[in-house]
Amino acid sequence: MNVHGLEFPESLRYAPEHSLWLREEADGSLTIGLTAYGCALYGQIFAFTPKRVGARIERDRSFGVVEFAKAASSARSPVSGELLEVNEALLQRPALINQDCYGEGWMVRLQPTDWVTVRDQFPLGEAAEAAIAERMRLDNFDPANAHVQALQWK
Amino acid sequence: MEHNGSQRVLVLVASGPSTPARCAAPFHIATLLACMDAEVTLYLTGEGTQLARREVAESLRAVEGGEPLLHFIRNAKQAGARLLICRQPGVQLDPATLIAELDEISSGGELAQMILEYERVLTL
Repeated sequence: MNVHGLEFPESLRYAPEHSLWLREEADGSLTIGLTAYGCALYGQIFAFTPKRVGARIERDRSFGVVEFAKAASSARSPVSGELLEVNEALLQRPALINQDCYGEGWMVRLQPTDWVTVRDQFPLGEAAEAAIAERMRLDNFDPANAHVQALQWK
Repeated sequence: MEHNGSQRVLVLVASGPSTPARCAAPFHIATLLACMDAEVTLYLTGEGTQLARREVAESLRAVEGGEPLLHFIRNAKQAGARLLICRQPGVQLDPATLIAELDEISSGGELAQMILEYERVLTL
């Protein structure tokens, strides 16, 4: 799926308000990462510092900090849960988020507390398109420059 | 300030225009702490009170060619940090000359209270 020049794999669920993707793993955990749109907003990421493995994260609370060119921002969790794993590779190579946000640039793996209840709030693939486009509209994202911003993470 | 259960961190900013290289760090650290859900209060004291003067905040740079201090102050505020300045005896603060990002002019007594109550106190 392509929204304003940015790629969003069909196989993933999305939390458009957080600019995050979620992948359901076989063990019931969720792998979470930044979408191409999140990357376009941040630009080059200099550091990602997650909370410690084992941390209890409430919905909409921080699971880590993203530092980029001129500022820093919370990475806020779309679901409550326990932090099971963090992508250690990002500690040395945070640019992996920009280079491969849906692959090697994943951020954390979380064990959600109430996934069955909240699962439907995170549309899968194409079903997320309208919500992602709306998020871009609310952010005044300029589609004309999307390819330029996307180049920063490609 | 109501405590919502997050860790409270007090950052005492004592650095000022005589050491520009030290002046951005307190605000950047405050930004990162707030991004990790800490309740952060920045308290300008001593020479650090000079940083609340608009002309200083808009012109002082920690690194040559870098962003002015006001950029870092705004980042910290945007992340949720609170910014206080110490009321100094005998020194009149003209609100018209201060940055709009200031939340409060505070007393030494209030500072002492925060030092006793907060989980962490940093001096930068």
